[in-house]
Amino acid sequence: METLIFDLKKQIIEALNLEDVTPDDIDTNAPLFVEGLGLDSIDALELIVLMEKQYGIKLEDPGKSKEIFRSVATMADYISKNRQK
Amino acid sequence: MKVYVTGFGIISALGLGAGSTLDALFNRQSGVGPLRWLETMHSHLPCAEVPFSTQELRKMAGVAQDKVITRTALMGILALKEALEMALWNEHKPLNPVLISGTTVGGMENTERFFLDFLSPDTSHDQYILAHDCGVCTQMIADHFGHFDMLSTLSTACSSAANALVLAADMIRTGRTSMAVAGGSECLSKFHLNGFNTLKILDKDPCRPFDDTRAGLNLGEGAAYLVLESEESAKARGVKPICLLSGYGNACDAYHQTASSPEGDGAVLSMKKALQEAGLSTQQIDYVNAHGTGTPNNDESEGKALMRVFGADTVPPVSSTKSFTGHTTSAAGSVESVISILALLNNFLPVNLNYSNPMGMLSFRPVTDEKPSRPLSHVMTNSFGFGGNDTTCIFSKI
Amino acid sequence: MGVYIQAAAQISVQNPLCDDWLDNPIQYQVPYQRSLEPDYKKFLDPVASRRMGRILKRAIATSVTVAGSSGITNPDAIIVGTGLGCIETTEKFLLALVQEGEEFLQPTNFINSTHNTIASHIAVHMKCNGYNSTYVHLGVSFESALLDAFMQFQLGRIHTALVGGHDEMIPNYFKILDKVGFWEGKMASECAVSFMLGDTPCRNPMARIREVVMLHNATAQREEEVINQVCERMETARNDWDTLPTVKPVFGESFTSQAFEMYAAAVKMQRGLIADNILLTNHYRGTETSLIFLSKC
Repeated sequence: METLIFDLKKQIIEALNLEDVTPDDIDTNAPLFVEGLGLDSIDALELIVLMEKQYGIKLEDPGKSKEIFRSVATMADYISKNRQK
Repeated sequence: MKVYVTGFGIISALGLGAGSTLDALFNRQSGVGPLRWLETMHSHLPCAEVPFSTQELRKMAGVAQDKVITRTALMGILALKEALEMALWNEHKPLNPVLISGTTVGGMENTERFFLDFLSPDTSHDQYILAHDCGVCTQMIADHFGHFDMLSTLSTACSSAANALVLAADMIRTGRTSMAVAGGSECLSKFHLNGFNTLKILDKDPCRPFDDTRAGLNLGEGAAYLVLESEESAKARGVKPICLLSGYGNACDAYHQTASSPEGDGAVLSMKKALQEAGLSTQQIDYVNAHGTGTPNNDESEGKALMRVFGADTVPPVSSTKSFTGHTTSAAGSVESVISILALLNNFLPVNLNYSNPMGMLSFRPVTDEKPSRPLSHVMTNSFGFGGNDTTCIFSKI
Repeated sequence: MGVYIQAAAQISVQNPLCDDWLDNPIQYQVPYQRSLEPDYKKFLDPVASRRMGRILKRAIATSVTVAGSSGITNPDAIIVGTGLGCIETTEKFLLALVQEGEEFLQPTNFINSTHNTIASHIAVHMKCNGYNSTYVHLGVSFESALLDAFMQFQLGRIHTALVGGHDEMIPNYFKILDKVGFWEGKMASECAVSFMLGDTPCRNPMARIREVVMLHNATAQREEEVINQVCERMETARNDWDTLPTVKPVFGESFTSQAFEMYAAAVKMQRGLIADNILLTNHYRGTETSLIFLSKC
């Protein structure tokens, strides 16, 4: 799980082009959207691409993805249970 | 100064010409369906393609086989031909006319096919390199007819053609020209289809604007142009004006790159500006052709904006004809202006197809019956683009 | 009615956001040179700019700069001219599409590929709900934007306008255009110039824009006829209007390089280094012509 969380943070930083942010700067349990990193709806779409490309997980409805994308911890939890690759 | 419409032309999934368009609207025949021409892995997504191959369009437009041209330009030529014929272009040539065109991806249809060849030493498709620029499409359309004294090209995403009308009208109002032809043209491309697909706003079923179950838009393609003219010029050329472009407004939502503000601030501003410019009260608008893409965000935001502008209990008949034509993106502003003018001239309300479930937050329901409660005198059409580029046009009977 | 250039700012191959180029231009002997970038942290926080390509950052930086120096922070109109738009992100999306296929494409690259993303980003950044438009007409895109602004002033709809010319050039696109002989020996470069215009002159306006005209397929005779008509309307003589040598050797060639010509002319006019009436002409590939009439304030 530790490795998955670290990798996931690196992938998020790359996908969202978060200049000057390191994996250590991202609080695993902090909210990703609005507060915390302050992400928005386009970032959510980028995270959907990330989930499919890196882990083979298809998330069709951006609305239902909200819970999954609450924090790095919730994302990692969902990935570990549903990953296809 | 008054700006008259003295001609219009259209091509869309409903066919070529005002006649085919009117028939389809009356018969409730949507142009949305399975893809026929565009090659893509997303072929399960319904779209509204113009029902002619590029080769057929080339023949219809009378463009030589060896001439470098794009599908977008061919559709533009066909729409412009109808508009110019209606305005008696050949019989009485106007003085220094201008052409203002709206487009978003220009020659992308060829660039996406040949980009790797462009980058390689292979020169066999190099003739399409400069055809990528948006402005080249305008040149191709203009030079097919000749005689245009000035050209310009606009790109404000899905309000491009509407803003072309705004610029054209302003050129007449400032006395820079006596005739300005304006509109937009856009063909479907893999680039566009995939782009909208990454935003997860394409419905896998025919779109349902203003329906509670709406799940996105269907992409379309098409072109439409309007001939705008000063009263003096129309008189001198002996052309009978069709209607007035009585008002228009451009405003920016300035909220987000793709999302509309929750209360539709930009849309409220563009509608209010257009009403003010036309000198009309809200009660005088007889029909609103909404932007109505069918995405959850647009229809909620635009619906609330309509309630704010017109009053929750006094919203005039509203429909989105994207349920017929698909979303013709940069051409939508002129395609829907032509549809609004057809409604105005024929005293009917184009219906909003695929509607059955009211949206809880809206006080009004879209039009489902063609018969208006009173003859139409003034019609409004909205065009909103990504980035919050909101534009509204109003057409009035003379 | 007057339209005054109240402030202007550039980011180019010369030192950014200043007039160093006037006395000490950096000399280049290369076919293609990208812009020298200022420190964007002064203008944008990293989270806000995470999706912005360089063309957007330059547009914001030059816009914020002219808003600051003119004191006009909420212009009535924002109008941009761009020949190729955000070609860098467009290429990212296009290359992924043609090389990797239709899966895993990134929404950000699509969104930032639309030409109007520049003017709308500026509007979001400056919170401007006013008139907003984008022109993409080849080598006269900037002049199209300027003409629109000029007409909005004429019609009394606006009192202030932010007008910009913005283009970027990526290595692949430089190569592609080079393949068809587009550059004609000139140095390919990038353009970011923003102007703050107003209908009431500020304390020290740079220049006054008297007229903007565009023509298609104009003969030399037609061009001269139009110039004479404009002179007649302004009640000036044709030979009151001087021309200037191009600043392309300083700033390079791009689709919006006419923005540099107007910028350089305005800077020089403000300092009294050139004649009081200047006519800037642009002939793009023999088909599109633009005329900008500038006068000293």
